[in-house]
Amino acid sequence: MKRVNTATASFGALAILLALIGLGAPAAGQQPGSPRTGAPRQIGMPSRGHASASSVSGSVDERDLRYAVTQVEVLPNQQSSFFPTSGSTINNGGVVAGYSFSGALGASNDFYLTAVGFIGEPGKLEALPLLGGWPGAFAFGITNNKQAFGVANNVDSAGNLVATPVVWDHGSPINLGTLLPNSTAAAIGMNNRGEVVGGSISFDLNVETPFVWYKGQMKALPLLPGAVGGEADGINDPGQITGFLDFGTTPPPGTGEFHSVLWTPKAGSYVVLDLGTLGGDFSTGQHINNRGQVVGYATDAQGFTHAYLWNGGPSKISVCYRAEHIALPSASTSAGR
Amino acid sequence: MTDLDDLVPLGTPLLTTPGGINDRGEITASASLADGSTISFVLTPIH
Repeated sequence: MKRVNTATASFGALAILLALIGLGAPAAGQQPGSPRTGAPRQIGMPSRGHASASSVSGSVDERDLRYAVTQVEVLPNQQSSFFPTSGSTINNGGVVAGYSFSGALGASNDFYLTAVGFIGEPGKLEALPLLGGWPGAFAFGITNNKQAFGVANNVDSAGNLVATPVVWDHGSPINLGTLLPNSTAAAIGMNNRGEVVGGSISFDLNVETPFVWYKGQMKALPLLPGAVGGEADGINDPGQITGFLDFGTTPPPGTGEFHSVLWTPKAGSYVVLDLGTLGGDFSTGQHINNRGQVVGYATDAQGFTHAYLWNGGPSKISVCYRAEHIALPSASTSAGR
Repeated sequence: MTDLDDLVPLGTPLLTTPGGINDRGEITASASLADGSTISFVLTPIH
């Protein structure tokens, strides 16, 4: 997304940055609050007349699965609870992380400034303490070591909404800071070793820079030649990181502006691998497991968004799983995500 | 690929966004309501 172009509008920069982690509206074709029917609904057929990708083979038949459902409570003085789409909101011990808020999701400054993060098991949620001077917070995920991560929200002296990345280490909030002054930033991923990744947007430079934070030190991740910025979204326990790089107005020939990438630690720095695009302007890795497999999403040349799997090796990304095609609304299309 | 909404009891609000899945197969998900509020759930596999 062209976040670098919106950074001067602070509310927009933060809102768009955080939209990555699931503040968005329901997917196209879904009606909020609409009743479910009992009829099974297989999804995966193209909804807008485009050819579908090949389906996954050799998988478990999900139709044999059933789930018991436990509603998660709402923190006191709030109206809703929400799990952002970080992919990390429940750890292997069954401890969840998310946030409670009042009003409508993402609708106003009040949403950002009154939200409170939580962790715990359903029925035993605990509010995460706020950072001093930061009136709101979102928890985006939790590790197996019960370290939660997310952001604290505030308004700066110019009235702009800003965020700072936060780790709650067994309940105590740590402000990770930003790469540069006059910035807004978010912790988007964290591994079980305590390494945190995210993006830091400088309002002065009008650019977002991917970062990794570990034990009090935040470092900018290296860019590929021609890239002007990027964002780190997922990190596995070996320390491999995925996200995207922004090539601005001069992307490599035949490609779009934003490319999925993989950062692999080597000799105190990182080797950066361009995972490519699906022919459209936007592509990003979202999560990476301990086998080095990356899942993310990307637009094709027609502007449709596809989930993808990158399975390692020298190849670029490709669509491997059948997915519903979602037409981006015009506003989102212009932002590239 | 199966809609998660087909795997939960009838009466569960339409789940619009997943929050994650752990190694035990437990899933977090949220439902967005028309007024902008949300309800969230933990889904536990029934074996």
